[in-house]
Amino acid sequence: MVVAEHIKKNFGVKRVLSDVTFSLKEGDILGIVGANGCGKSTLLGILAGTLPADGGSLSYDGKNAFSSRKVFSDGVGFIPQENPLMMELSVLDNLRLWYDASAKELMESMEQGPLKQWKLYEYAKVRASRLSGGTKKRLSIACALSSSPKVLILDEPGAALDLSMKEEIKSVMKEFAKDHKAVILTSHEMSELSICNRLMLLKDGSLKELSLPLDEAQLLSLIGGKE
Amino acid sequence: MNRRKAWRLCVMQAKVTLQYIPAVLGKCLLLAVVLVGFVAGASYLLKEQDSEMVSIAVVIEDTNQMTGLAVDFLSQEEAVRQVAEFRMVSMEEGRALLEAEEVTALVLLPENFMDGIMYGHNVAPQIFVKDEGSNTSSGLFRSLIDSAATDLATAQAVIYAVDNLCYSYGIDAVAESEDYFNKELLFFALSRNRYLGQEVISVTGELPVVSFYLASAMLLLVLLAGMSFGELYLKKNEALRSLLAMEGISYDATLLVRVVVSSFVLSIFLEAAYLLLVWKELAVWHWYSFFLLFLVVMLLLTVEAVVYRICNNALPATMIVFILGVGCLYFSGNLVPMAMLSEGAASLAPWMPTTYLTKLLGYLFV
Repeated sequence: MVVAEHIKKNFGVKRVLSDVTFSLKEGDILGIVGANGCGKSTLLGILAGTLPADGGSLSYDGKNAFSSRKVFSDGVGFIPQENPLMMELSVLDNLRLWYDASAKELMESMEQGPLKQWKLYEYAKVRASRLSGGTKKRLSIACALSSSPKVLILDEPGAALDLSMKEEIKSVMKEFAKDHKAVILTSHEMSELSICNRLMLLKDGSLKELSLPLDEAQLLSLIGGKE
Repeated sequence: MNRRKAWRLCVMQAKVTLQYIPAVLGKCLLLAVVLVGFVAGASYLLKEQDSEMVSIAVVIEDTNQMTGLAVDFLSQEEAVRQVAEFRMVSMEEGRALLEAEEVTALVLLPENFMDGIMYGHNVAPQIFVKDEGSNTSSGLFRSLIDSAATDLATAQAVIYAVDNLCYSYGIDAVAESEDYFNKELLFFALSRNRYLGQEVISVTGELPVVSFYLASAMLLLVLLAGMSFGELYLKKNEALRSLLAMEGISYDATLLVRVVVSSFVLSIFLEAAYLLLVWKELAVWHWYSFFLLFLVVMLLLTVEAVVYRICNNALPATMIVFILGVGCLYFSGNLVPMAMLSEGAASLAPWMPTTYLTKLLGYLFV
């Protein structure tokens, strides 16, 4: 479903990603861990199409993603660390930006339809800047799923959220993966990574598959470089 | 590019911009005080003001028509007419009025008075004051006489200079129009209204004084009001930018939408303020006045938007815009008259964009 081979990325003379290779199949939830600044967000940016790679290849469902932006926009839902919202606009207007639907249709969807699960109906007219962190994240996910993507990519989705919201997001990811789709996420928290069926460590510019189960102490020692 | 999404984004940008309007309006109203100050100042210069009047009897013995005109010009001079009224009388009537203290002074303009001014054989006017130096009215009168003498001396100097020029270079053709020429010189020397209305001071050579300073005030107002939109032009959300880029939509292009919408809205309010504040005195309603305003506002806001976008931090961007803006206004003579700038500073005026923006805005105050 997702095949990444020999992906490279440099920032000036600094090589951030030297050789990233992995593949995912339907139903996979891949957790990527690594020290701060190791290139996790860069890798997710490349996988989501928001950053260009300096080398390698990437395909979604057999389609070469680096040759067509449409592969990304149709096939990938990306939720960066920073919520990609227009904070001056209402929840409804933010949804209108991404969904090909009228305000009325979206209101109906938020009340009774597919968007109901995001519990945004009561905030429809509220400015995004006035929402809580959890509601902003729910709105971001709702926006990211507007194109019905097959792969959902989340960069530290639970950061700065309360426990109940973290659990909610975990269940969303699990449900998403169950539907013959795949999830890629980065996190520093073992509780969040517990839903992953695959875990990879990004270190020295390349990915290394970790064997599961893994406890927090083992993860810490791996990230910190200790054997 | 996803065109429908791009269009929706543009609509949303317009919506975001409109949300800034109440805050910007509040700031604009505050800044409008500057414009009101300028307009009030201009109105003061143009309007008559009532005050305690000094009555002066004038006896004209000179048969030259120019003498009557000169007195008329003098009496119409704004500074004079605010404090003095001239009564044309015969010598007998004048003496009687002076005796009865109905006039502060009696001025006798003798035969050949005007010829004397024009040809250098000065014939002094005779001035009769009943209680010389004994009251404020006579003191005021003396000040008026001094002021008039200075004005006339200036005009006289120019007349002599022109005459000498014509004589030295044998320019006979000018002689035929000399009367008219001299009359005009006196007219300009004696009438401040005329000076303010017609004297060209802008570096572009087309704007009278009042138009120039009203245009300058408006330019300053736009510049400062534009800073209120600064927040709108910052690059705020990198994540959104990158996601839109994935859709083939440049988030930077949306800056243009914000600039256009903010310029449009600001222009509407400026147009309203312009019409309300200077409707009777100076405003000339042309179908293109809004377009002109919009053009100037958009040019200024575009520059400001670029500065804010590059800095991506409100404080330094505001400082840069302020320093650049005020600097340009200074060197183009909008804040301090060009005549008071050093030669080097004044020579920069043709290079200042504000010079040409003032010229454009000046068409609103013709």
